[in-house]
Amino acid sequence: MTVPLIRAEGLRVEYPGRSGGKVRALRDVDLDIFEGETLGLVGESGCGKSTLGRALLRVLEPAAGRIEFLGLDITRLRGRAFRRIRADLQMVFQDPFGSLNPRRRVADIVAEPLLRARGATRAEAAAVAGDLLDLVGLGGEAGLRRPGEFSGGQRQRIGIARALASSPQFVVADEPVSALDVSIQAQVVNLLSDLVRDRGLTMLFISHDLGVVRHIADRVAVMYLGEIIEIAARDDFFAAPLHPYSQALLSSVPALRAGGRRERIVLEGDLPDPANPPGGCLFSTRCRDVVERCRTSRPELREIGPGRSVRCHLVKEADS
Amino acid sequence: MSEPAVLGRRWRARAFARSWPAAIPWLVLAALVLVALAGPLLVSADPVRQTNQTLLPIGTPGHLLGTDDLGRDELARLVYGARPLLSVAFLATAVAAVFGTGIGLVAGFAGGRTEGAVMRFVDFALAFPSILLVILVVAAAGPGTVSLVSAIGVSLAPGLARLARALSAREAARDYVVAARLGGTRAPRVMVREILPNIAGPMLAQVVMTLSVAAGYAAGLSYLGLGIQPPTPDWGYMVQAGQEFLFSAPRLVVLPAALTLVLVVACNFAGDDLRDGLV
Repeated sequence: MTVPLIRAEGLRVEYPGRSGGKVRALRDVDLDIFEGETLGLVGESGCGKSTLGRALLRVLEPAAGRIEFLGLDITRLRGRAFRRIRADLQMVFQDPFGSLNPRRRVADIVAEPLLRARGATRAEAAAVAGDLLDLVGLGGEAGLRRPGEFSGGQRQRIGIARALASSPQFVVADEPVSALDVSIQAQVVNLLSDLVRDRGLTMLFISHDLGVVRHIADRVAVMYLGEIIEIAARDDFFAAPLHPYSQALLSSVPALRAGGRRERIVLEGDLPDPANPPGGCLFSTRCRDVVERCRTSRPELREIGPGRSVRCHLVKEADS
Repeated sequence: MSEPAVLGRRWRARAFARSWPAAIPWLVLAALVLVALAGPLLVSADPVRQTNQTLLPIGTPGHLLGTDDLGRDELARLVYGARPLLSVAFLATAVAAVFGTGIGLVAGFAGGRTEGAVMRFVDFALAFPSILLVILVVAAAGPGTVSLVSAIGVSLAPGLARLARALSAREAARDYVVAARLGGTRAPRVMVREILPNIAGPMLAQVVMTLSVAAGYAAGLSYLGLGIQPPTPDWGYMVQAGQEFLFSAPRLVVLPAALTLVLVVACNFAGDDLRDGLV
């Protein structure tokens, strides 16, 4: 296939643990994201979704592995060379309150990436910022006000405008709507997906809401305990998830039709302590299909069909 | 300096509107600053000219608060004495605010080893008795505004640095700082434009509190004879000189001591008011 826009190889992120040890939040993740696609990244809280998104943008320094942007290794890039591509990698944050500086005017917040990363003049940046605020449905005059004067949904629109200001190629949207009222979520998701499509952007859309992911993503990746356990095209995934965890996750989404055919799989137990993960398959402690082999040997992420990979001993290639 | 102008209109309005007693320390500070600035215009008597009319009592015509043991007008000495104390206190606090905020801001933002190294040094400075440090510096460098201001300023900076570090580290972890870095803003600009405005409120409250400590140090040093040198009047020195007459003319001790107390207490209440306004 073509060169991916973003490629992660063996990406590992560790946090200092409570007892002086290290908690591995990302376990050697391999991931390709192709130009123009929206990859939905799902999983429960604490599985490493946000860590992966932030590591790809080099907000977090990985302990091991490498990140490539259009084939260029950016893992250790510094100084001017890194600033040159900085503008191409942007982010929409989950928290509509913490992600906007309460002391700055909205127009300045949106114009900042243009001034710093693209070297625009003040006048250019102000004009683009006004246009962007229009584009996200707030109107240019919103720029004169400060973030405190806006609602959560409006703040996320400001965050989207800022993320697009430097004309990036790749945007990580880290649960951009999970802090919003359901009635507002759809508006913001639609705005984001329209903008991404119109501008031909590539997006990593992180969410724990499968309904939203189904709506916006071209491909879906599922994470569990710092690992990617399944990647598939959206329609394949939602038609027939292969990993037992994906099946459980999907079965937890309420069906719209009464008497839906799907059986509800309830997972037993809690997410294992990431500082002290189980041996063998990380999901073996909660998997309903678990066999002896799962507890002793760690499955690899295997490609079992075109564009479809699963990390499970039990899934045969014939299944796809 | 009597009003927290940097906080903007809304803040000021809130500070005063909350309750009228909150305005008292600000008015007292404003009055003291006014006296220090406009002193020479307020009294006609010369504060240093000695006469043979010594120890005149309060209420003497021409000498409203009487005269001291050298026949100098007490009111004029009190009015002129405000300036050295207030200027040393304000300048020393400014020095402490600039260094303390700067060090703490950088340490909190940088984190990791830089933070550890800087803050161990700050802890060391904080553990050292600051009044001793000030006395040592002034004794070594000789009394004078420059040595007083730098000694007091340096000894008060660590306390402000610790607060600034804690506030800065908290802000640095927030997503708007991540967003600024993603937008290509470099570290110094992130610190000054993004973080500093968000820690300025609590810092200012602490700085005003620090002002009271600086005033206390300045008065204390002057009492010990390490402050502004005579014959220039200064409240601390006046207390010391008046001690001899504590029983015959207590006003020579009580008046400068009371004014110093009022200054220190007003600073503390003003700082409290700012801190209350933060929440």
